[in-house]
Amino acid sequence: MRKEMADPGQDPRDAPDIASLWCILDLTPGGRGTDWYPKLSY
Amino acid sequence: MDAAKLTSAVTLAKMAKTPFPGESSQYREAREALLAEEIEFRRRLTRLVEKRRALPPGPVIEKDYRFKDENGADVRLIDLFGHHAALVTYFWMFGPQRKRPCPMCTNWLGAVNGNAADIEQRVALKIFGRSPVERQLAFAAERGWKNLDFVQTAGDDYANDLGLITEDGSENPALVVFQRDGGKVRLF
Repeated sequence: MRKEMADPGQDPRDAPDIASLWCILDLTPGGRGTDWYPKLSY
Repeated sequence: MDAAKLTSAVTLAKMAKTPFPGESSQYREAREALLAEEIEFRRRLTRLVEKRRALPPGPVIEKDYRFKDENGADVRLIDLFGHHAALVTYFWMFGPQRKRPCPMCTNWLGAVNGNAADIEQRVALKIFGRSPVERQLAFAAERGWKNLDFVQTAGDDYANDLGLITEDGSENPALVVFQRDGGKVRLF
């Protein structure tokens, strides 16, 4: 999946989504958010 | 999946009940409509993965890519299959130019670490990185990952051929599945 294949406002991503992080957040009221990414530590 | 045997998604969705009391009729109706769509989506997904698995044979990997395993041994792509017919690989962004690995790759690998022992019952699973295996393993130890097999891509042919090194020297990840075909390896 190349950058130019991404939909507007989204990172290039495959379907089905391979990341449980995003799949789980998709089930919540806030969803994935638009500017949040995981960090190595919190 | 035999489409003729499928009960309509709308019918199936009517079987669902909300486990908590107090739902409005609007919530029930919308939830039921959503569930019907989710069932349709599930079926589409099933067809999609069936199509993926039914692809014609992928190209034979003719290039002799080399990898260094955790014992320092020089191994070929086909050696990474072990006794399995399929090899799942993930190239992660932890090349020698990076002080720390990519947080998103790290997130994903953490989840895969939890699944690796089960996945490896069915297929081979290897994590490719451009850093020496010891460096990758040191980070794995820091995260408490115990189930991932890291290998170093020897030279940058693999990363370059897949376009994984960008002009500014940063990297992109790549999840690639290979299939063994006799003594050859094909892209799946």
